[in-house]
Amino acid sequence: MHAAWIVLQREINHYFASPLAYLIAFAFLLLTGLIFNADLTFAITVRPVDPALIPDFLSFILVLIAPLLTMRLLSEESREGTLELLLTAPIPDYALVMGKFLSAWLYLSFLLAMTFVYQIILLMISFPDMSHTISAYLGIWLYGGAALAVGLMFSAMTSSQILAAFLSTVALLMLYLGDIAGQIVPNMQAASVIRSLSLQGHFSTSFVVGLMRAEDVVYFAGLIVLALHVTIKLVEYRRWR
Amino acid sequence: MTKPVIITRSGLRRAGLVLGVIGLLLTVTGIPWQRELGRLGILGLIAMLAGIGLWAHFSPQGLRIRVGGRRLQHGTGALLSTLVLSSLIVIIYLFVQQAVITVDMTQGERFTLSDQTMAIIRAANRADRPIQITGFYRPDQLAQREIDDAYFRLYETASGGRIHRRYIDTTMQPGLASRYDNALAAGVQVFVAFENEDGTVDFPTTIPLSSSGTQERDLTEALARLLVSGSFTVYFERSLGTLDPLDSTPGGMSQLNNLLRSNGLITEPLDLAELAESDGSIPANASVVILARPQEQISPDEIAIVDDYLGRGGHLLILADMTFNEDHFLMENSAFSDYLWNNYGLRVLDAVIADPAASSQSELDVVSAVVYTNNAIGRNLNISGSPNTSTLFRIARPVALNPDSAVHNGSIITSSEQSWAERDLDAVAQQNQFIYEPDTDSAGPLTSAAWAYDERTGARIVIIGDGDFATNGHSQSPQGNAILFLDSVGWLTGFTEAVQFEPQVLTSGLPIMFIDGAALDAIALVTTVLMPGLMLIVAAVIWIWRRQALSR
Repeated sequence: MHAAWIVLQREINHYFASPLAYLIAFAFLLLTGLIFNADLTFAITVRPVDPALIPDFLSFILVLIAPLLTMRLLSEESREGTLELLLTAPIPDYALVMGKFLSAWLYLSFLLAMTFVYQIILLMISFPDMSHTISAYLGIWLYGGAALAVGLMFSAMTSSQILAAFLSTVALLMLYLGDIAGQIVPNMQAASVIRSLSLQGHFSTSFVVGLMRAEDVVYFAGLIVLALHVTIKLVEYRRWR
Repeated sequence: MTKPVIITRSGLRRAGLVLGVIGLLLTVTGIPWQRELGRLGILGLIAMLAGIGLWAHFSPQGLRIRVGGRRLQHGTGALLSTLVLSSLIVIIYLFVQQAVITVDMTQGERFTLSDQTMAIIRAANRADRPIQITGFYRPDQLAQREIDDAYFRLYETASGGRIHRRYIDTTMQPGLASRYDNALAAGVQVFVAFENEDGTVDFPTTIPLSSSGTQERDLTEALARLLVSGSFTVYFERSLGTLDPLDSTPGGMSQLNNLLRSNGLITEPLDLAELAESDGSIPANASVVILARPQEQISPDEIAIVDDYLGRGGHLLILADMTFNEDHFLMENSAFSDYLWNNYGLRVLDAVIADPAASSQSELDVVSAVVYTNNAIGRNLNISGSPNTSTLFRIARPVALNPDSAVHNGSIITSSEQSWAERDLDAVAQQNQFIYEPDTDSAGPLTSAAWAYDERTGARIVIIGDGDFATNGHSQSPQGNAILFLDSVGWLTGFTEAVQFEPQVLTSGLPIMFIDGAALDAIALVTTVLMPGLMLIVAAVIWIWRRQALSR
């Protein structure tokens, strides 16, 4: 795990020393800030604030942001030839993948933590259902982890950052749109299966409404483990091809 | 001049690969699409095998590398480990899904069944048959089904499967949905019913779920209705020229009769004249007897039968209209009128209510101006913001109340203070004239619906000074008319107390916030300008710093 920790530190330093990370944070905070204010204006004197507003909104935004955070992690190393160097270093493949994944997840956690400001504001002006909010944040944190793992998998597949970002956006969009599978697939059974495979299917009707279900936690954890496993195998492929 | 087509080995190799991929795609989409190895799947398999064969024939070296080298060894290992891991995750997921492990994180415990619901579930477990929740959802309503399912699953788990759920796709199984067509057309999607021994739904026991947006209340009330179904019998008197509960014409009363039945109440006809002739009595199982707009006087023998029934703690609903015939029902000086006045402190007057302040097209079309919400009958009427929940009586008779009566009594609906009781019935009937005469007419407000309750015997009476409101033509316009009728029956039979429940939380229960414009502006400044702006500044500083570092 020490090797993973070293990779994690290196990647975190890379994130916070890069203007791109702050530009992503700028766009992230601008969008969530606009949504927060719009809802606040509508809610005043009319209805209580929506405890899951920001996490619910982020479930779509993550489809676009997660590929941006992961696209360079392995494809850049591959393109610049540094991946081969890393593979010759005494770092196991899993440690390399884990370190990179955890760094991205940590950065996403930092972005999510910044939106706690909205909750603090709500606590000052209202009586929000904080436990419901915690449920929604926990859900989006797991959702984000799964989205990043999928993005990292595509980053390991190609040396082109653009292609990695494009492929992972398409894949995440498919997983996101699974929530409306029923509107596309006319068969309820098939739609139900597709929905149960989708990210939204395990978020929009559970964490968002304040209900934490063990099966949803297993789904997100399972997707993270599976995507990371495939990523490790893709990195290993470079050793024996 | 046309360019010659040159077929090369590498071209055929590529064609083989393309054919193989197309075949694979056809197979993986065709089998789930047709839900069997149909034509599409078989075609895909043939194309895939042909493609692989073509590629292998023209690329023997590539085949050797893939099937005999390190790629196969490592590739197979990677594939197998991924498959094993996927299977393991699916097994764990299915196991956990079966276990139904949930944590309700809402402050109002919206996903935790209330004590009242648990009491109903215990009652359901004591029932002799299992109960099925049947939900009809189209594929495009999948998300709604998932939300409802979160609740229905709680009932299934709490009852140990005694109450269980089944979902029917209306587009794929129209045959199963056809029996519910009318309810489905009215927007009802979920039903509860007892199951037969063979596992089929006992259709006559089916109770539709009303949709109030609070799943727990809707389902618990429907379950309660199901459990008490058959326990309440409503008798419609049929010998006094009363409204016909089976007549589906605008003048009939079939709609309200059907509503009672759909709520699990049994409805039966009752012939008072025949009972009087045969010296019989009102059946002991009569939860309520309804005299729906009788057009004839009730005889002394029939009064004796009603008295006997009320003496046994019976319940009576009287819809007394002004029929303008000489010998109309409940004339002020009639024997039955005196009986009700002397025993229950209620008397329907020989007059009609005119109300300039609370009326519809004519001043004789009186709207419920004031509703007394301190009883179970009035609480669903005149709901603020829902004008459809008021009642509308066309030519209504006032009901007088004796405050010194030996029994409890009171008003349910009264007219406005500007109203009066028009006594000149000839002028109303022949010339449609109604002018307030202080000497003869009584000034409002006037009671148009009243109740009485005898604590000693348990007898309950509701008198409404109108009958038309309960006909098919008027019971839903406005909806308050049907509400008044159903809630009257509900109070008289005790049905309302048996099936009405408060949900855990009706809404989120959280208070609405109040902040001023200046605070709102400050919040907007911090969240849309300062916070994102700070990130932008940091990005700019790092970018400049890195450029400077590069130039050095």
